[in-house]
Amino acid sequence: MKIKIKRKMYKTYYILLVYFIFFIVFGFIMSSPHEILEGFKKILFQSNILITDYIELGGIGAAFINSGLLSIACLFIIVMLGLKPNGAIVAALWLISGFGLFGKNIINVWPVIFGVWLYSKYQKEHFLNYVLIALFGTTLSPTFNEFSFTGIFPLWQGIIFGILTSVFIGFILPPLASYCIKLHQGYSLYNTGFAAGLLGTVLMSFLRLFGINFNKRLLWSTGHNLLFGIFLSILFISMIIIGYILNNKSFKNLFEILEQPGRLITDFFLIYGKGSSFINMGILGLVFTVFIVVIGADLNGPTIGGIFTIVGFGSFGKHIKNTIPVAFGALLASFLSIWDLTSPGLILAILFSTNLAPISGHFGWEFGMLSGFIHVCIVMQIGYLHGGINLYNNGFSGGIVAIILVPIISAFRQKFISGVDELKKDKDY
Amino acid sequence: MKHITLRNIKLVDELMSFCYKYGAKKININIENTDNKVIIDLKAYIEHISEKTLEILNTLLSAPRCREMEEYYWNLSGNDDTDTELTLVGMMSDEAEINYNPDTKLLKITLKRIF
Repeated sequence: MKIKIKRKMYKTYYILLVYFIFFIVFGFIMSSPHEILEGFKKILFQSNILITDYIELGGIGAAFINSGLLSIACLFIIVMLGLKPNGAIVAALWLISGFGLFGKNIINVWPVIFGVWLYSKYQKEHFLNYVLIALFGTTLSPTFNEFSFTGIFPLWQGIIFGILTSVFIGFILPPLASYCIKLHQGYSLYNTGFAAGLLGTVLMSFLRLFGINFNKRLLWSTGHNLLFGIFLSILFISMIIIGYILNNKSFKNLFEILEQPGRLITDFFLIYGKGSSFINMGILGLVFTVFIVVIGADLNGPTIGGIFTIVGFGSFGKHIKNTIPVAFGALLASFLSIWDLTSPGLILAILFSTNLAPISGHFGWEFGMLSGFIHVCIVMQIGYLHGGINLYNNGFSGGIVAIILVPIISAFRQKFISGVDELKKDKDY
Repeated sequence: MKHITLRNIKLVDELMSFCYKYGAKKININIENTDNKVIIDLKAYIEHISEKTLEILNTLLSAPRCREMEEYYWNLSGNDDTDTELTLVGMMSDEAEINYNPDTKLLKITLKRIF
């Protein structure tokens, strides 16, 4: 069947565009053009594996401009393909903007996206069918930088090998990502992270066979909590206000959202409307920003990326009721661990542990806490497997936790919270 | 599109799960395939189903066709007996029709998928 493309810039896309332009403006305010240029050179032509904080590497200006430009480019693709906004698209765009601060840049995402595009052509299908996988699939983008600019190969051979490998990854990712979802049954929201983790593990194992290994990397900026605290507060409060206005100046449907388990697919955006989704996203953003500040951690590229990811999934499964138990479970594990609570790996583990929110929502808060606890135990160990090229390392861990926990809980638990619940209709896109 | 038959089976699976969840005692399914579309007709005898539940069912099945969601998430449908994936069913269907007759206790769900 020939798919008719109806290109339209929906109201939601205008709102997101304004946010992404705001990032670019913020970048220009924070750094001089020279600093931005120099910062971009470092971001584009150095290693980008976990954990590379673009704010530390290239400065605030270059990091936020990169994030804004990348997000706008992805939004442009979505509009050109004529996709109507839904929760998954909103989540993907915020995830891209978040990882635009640590690991994805305006160059390294394209080989993977092109690979997915090639797969769609191979299947003789329209790219719009696969665009969501392409956007989420950019998790393996650092592969390009790693092969091209770290001296493993001579420059031009490295670039060619980097492009070919990344395109190949994109080409085989769609069937893998779609299959992996069966394994955890939608209880891990970052499914692509799980699929990419498996793929990254195979790739690294292959490379290590030939003695190729990637150097560990930890770039982590500190000392910006006041600045980013104000920036994020403005962002999330504005989101709540916009949501409130779009929601006919009310908080209607917000409590219905809180009653949802959040398992894939729970599309708050389509079921409850964009207004209540934006309110939910804003609340989540504020809560987790305050959380980071209160425990004394740093607001920087990776942690802001983590917060943006939570915010994005605020339209696609996450809310405070199902995320907080998981985050507390992860926090508890962090307290008991041998590592410092505010260490980079642990902070990211706590933020991204919320990918297991559906376990909390479906089985109850106590199992949510348990999943968060186990998540921290696993995620601190598995980064080695893929050598840091899978940016959604926590999605990899989350998938493993869900695969282990869900069948066990299901076998002994009698009471479940189902997605078929009190819903209300709101279909204004 | 690959695995079309399996996708249709999973949709039926999901609808049956919903009916069983609400106490269906007897379910009849009719599937009609043509070159470019499939029509799934399900009839279930359910003693009681509230207006609210029907409204919810209608809301979820009315989710617009989202091919990008289908391609990624279709494997989720029809695999879990503790929860339903009716939003996904809606996203995988072009048209959905629901009718419940309290006198005959018959719930009719018709889905149309165009390829």
